[in-house]
Amino acid sequence: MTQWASGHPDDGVLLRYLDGELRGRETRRVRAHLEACWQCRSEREALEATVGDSVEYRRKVLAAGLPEPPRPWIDLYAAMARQDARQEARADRLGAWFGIGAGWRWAVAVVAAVLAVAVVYRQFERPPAVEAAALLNRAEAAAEAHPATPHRVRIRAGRQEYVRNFGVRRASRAAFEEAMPAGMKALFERAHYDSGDPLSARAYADWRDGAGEKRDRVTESAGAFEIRTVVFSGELAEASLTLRAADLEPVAGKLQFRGADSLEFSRVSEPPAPADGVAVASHEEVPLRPAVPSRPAAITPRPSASISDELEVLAALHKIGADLGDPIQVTLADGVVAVEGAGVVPDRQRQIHALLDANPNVVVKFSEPASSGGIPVAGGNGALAAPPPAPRLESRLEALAGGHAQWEEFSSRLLDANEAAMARAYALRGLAQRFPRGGAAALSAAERHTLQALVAEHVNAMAGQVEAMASRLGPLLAGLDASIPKSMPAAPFADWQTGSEETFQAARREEMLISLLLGVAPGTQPPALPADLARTLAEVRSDLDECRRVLEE
Amino acid sequence: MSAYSIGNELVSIVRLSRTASRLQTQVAELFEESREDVFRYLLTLGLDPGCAQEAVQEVFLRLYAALKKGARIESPRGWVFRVAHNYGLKLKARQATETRFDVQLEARLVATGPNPERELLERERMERIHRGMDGLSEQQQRCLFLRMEGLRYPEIGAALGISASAVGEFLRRAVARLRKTDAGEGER
Repeated sequence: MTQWASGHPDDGVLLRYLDGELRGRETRRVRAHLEACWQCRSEREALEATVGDSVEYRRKVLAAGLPEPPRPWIDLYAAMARQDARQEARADRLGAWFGIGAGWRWAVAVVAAVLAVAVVYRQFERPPAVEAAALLNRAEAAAEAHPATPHRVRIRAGRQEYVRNFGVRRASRAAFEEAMPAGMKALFERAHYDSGDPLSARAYADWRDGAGEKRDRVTESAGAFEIRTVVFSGELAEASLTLRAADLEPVAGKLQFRGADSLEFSRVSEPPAPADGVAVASHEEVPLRPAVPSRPAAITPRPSASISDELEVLAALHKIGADLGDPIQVTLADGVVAVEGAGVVPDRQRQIHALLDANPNVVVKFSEPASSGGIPVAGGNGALAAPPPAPRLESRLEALAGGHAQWEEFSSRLLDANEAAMARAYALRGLAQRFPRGGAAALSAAERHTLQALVAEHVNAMAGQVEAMASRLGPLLAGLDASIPKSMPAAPFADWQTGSEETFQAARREEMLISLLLGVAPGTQPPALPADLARTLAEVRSDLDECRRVLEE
Repeated sequence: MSAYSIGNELVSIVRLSRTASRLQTQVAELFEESREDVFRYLLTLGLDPGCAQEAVQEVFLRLYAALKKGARIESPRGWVFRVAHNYGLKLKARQATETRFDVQLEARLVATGPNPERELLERERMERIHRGMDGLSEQQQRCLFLRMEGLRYPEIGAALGISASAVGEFLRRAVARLRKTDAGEGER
C-alpha cells in the first residue's frame, strides 16, 4: 500500500524525520523509502544543506553579530543563596511571630505543635489552606509559563467603572492611565497597588510584599482559591484575590480601604453595559491585542490602534479582493496597523491608499521587491514551480477530455479554480490565526458580526469554487473509475477557527493531488490518485459545510 | 523530645541542604552553558541587551525556585526557553521603545583573512541567508530560532503556545522559503 499520495514523503515529513519527530512506524517507512529512492535522498540532502546553512548563520551571524551582554553575568550561586536566605528570613519572621527562641528543642517542639495544630485544623477545614505566598508564586509562574491571552478587566471604584483590555503592550499603558478616572487612579496610588495590571498575581504579590504587618487566609470553594490579606497598618484594611483553581488565573480582586473606599476588579468576557437606572461614570478602553510586529523598525509608534482597526483594515482590503493573494502584509503593532506590500501594482496601491489613508491608526507602505524577489506571497506554493515529469495518466485524461486542446483548457480552468479556492483557504486560515477563539471574544458584538460575515463570505466563495471543481472533475474521475462521495463523515468543529484549519489542510491535500493529476507537480502518480482526489474533494466539501453550520450557530 | 527524634530532624536538615546544593550546581551549570543562547534569543524577540540580560538571570533564578519547590521538569533547557520567551514578551511590552533585532551584518562580515575572495563569497552567502531569514514570518522565525537552540517540536510548541504539528508546519515553510530564496538568488 502506498503511504504517501505522491508516492514520496513530502518535505514536511522528511524534515520531521530528520528532526526525529516521526513515530516509530513512520520513521521506519521513511527510512526504507530513502534507501530505495534517489530522488528523496537528494531531497534529504537539500534539506540538510538548508539546516546546515541555518546552523552556520546562527554561529557566524547571530552569535557574532548580536550585541554582547552589557554587564558581567551575576554570580548565580550567590544569587541563589540570597534567594534562599530571603525565604529563610520569611520563615524566621513567622517563628518570631510565635515568640520562639533559638533553642533547638524549642524549635522542634514548636514545629511539632504547629504540625499537630495543622492536622487538627485540616480535619475541620477542607480543602486545606494553602500558604498565600506559595500560591501567589505558583500563580505567577503559571502566568509566565503561558502566553497571555487578550482579556478584559472591569475596575470599579464606588460609582465609577472602567474596563481595560489586557494582554497589552506598554504603548497602550500610557493611554490607559491617561484615560483612567482621576479618582480611581488616586485610589491605586494610595493603596501602593499597581494600576497597570491590577488583576494579576504579580501585582497582588508586589503589594503584599510591601505591606506591613498582615495576616493571610486562603480558602477554596467553587473551583477557586481566594487569598484574603488583612493589613494592620496603612491605607488598606484588607485585600483579596480570587484565582481559578484549574489554572490559577486571577478572576477577581478587591482592595478595601480604611473607611468606605474600595476598588474592585473582575475579569469579564463581554463589554460592560451601564447599569440600569444608575448613573455610572464609565469608560471603556479600546481593545488591544498583544501583537508583535514582524518589521517593527518600519512602524512609527502611535499608541491608539486596536484589534478593531485591524479588523476594519482586513474588511476594507477584502472589499477590493486584496486579501486573496496580493503580496500585502497587515500587522498590528506599536499602536498602529501597518499595511505593507512589495511589488504591488500602482493601481492597486492607489486603491489601498484611498481606502485606508483616512484612518489615522493605519500606516500604508509599499516598496519595490528586493533583489531576492521581494517578500514571500502568503499562500504561495513552491511545489508547483517544479518541472513536471511525464504523467502516465495524461493520454487517458486527454482522451476523456476530448483531445489535447480541450485537455489544456480543462487543466488551465481547473488550476484557476483551485488557485481561487486556495486563496480563500489561506484567507480563512489567516483570519483564524489573527482572531483565535479567545482573541475574538475581545471584540464587540458589531465587530464580531463583521468578522463572522468575512469568514462566511470566504467559506461560501470557497464552497462555490470547490463545487465548480467537483462538477468539472466529476465526469473525468468517473472515467477513471472514481466517484466523488456526496458527503464524508466528519467530527463536528468546536468553532470556525478549528474548521478553517481543518479545511485548509484538506484543501492543501486536494491541491497537491490536483497538481499530480495534471502533471504540474513532481512525483509519480499513484494508482489510487483518482480515488484519493475524489475523496479529498468530498472532505473539503464536508469541512466547508461543517464550517457553515458552526457559523450559523 | 528524644535524642532519636532530634537526630532525625538533623538528618533531614542535612538532606535538605544537600539537595539545595545539588540543585544549585545543576542550575548554575545550565546557566553557564545556556545563558548566551537564551540572551541571544531574547534579543531576537526585540528586547534591549540590558533588559535581556536581566531577564536571563531572572529566568534561571525562577528555575532554581521551581526545582526547589519540587517541580518535575523533564527538560530544564526547554523550560528555560519557554519561560524566557513568555517573560521576554512581557518585558518587551513594557519597554518604552522597540529594539530592532539587528545583526549589523555589514560590520561583522568584513573580509580580514588571507583569502579575501573566498571571504567575499562567504559573506555574500551569509547575506543571502540573512535576507531569507528576514523574509520569514515572525512565527516561522521563532520556530526556527528555537529549533536552532536544540528545542524539540513539543518544547517549541509549549513556548509559543501552539501544537507540535503546527511547529512542524512552520518549520517546513521556513525551510522551504529559505531554500527558495537561496535558489532564486543563487541563479542570479
